[in-house]
Amino acid sequence: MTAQDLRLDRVALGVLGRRWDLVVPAGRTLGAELLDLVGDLVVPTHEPAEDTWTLRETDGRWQLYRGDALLLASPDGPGLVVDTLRLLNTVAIDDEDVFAVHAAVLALDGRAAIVPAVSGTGKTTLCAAALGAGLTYLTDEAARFPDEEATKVVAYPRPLSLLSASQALLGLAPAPVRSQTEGFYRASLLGNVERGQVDVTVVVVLDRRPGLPEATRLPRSTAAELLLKNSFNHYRDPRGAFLRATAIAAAAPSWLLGYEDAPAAVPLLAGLLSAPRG
Amino acid sequence: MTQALSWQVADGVLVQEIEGRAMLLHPASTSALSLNESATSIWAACTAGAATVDEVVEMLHDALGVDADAIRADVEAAVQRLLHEGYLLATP
Repeated sequence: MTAQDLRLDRVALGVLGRRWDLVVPAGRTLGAELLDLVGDLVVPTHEPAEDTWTLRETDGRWQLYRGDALLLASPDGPGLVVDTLRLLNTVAIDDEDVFAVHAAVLALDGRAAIVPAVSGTGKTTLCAAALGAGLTYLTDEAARFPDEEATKVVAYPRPLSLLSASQALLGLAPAPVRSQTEGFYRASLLGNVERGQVDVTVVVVLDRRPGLPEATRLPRSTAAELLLKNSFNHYRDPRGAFLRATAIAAAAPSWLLGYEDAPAAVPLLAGLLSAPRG
Repeated sequence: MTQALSWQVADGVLVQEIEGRAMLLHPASTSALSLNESATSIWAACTAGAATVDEVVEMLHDALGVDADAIRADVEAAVQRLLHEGYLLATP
């Protein structure tokens, strides 16, 4: 073991409501790639970390530790990085204690569209396409609403995980960190990223189907129902979540966005964000 | 038969109305029930004291001028759903 092997790089991350320290061995390509991927989640280190995760490599085998506890181990370094990103997201969501919705959020000129949907609906591909078209990325995963009196959504700009087909559709270069089926991209390398808060002015429901893209109005109560249904933590405070979901839906018109391919849907989404409020 | 039913509105139901459509949250549930405009009117009649299908139909006829026979089936269906979901409680 050399002196270089003992050096560590540490970054402070804000992941939803939590402060995380991520530590990787210095001078190692894999560690640098992980730090680069989570770069959009880096925050000023004014507050102590609530959790510290450390990536180590010993005899060609990679491990992820939480303190002294082994969380993950694999001879496949990139695979471990992918699993680390997924675990970080899962733990942060499990710990979330304010109203948060499984949703993508994209913004334009200080207005945000929230897109509540379960995994596999196409949120991430839409986000990547929107980034390429000049919209601003807040999250493809979790819309967090810490302020009970407002519809301000807090950014959670985690890396984008895109299937090979989506990468090809969007014409993206191969990702440095990838699994057999997905590539991971730091969002700020694809376009504009917001790290603060933006006011939600539109609720958008995705409808993947053949044909030309089209936006049609939805009852706001449908949007409220979807926001509640896609909340990660409504079961902890059902009445509070119900009031938050209905307040957001009452403040923002709801649209069904029908489309086949994400790039074709982005101009419609931009149009919804640019429309007069109502 | 539904016509023979009477009910009372369950306690503790949280109601929010958005663009003329009510959303209900039962105190024992984590998921909401979203009502269309017609069901919202029926729910409003129930909360205003209508406790049988006949009373709901009469209240809607008086308030909205709708044909009683035309809406009876919708009222019965909505009441059954609200009873099933626990927002209305059948009374003897």
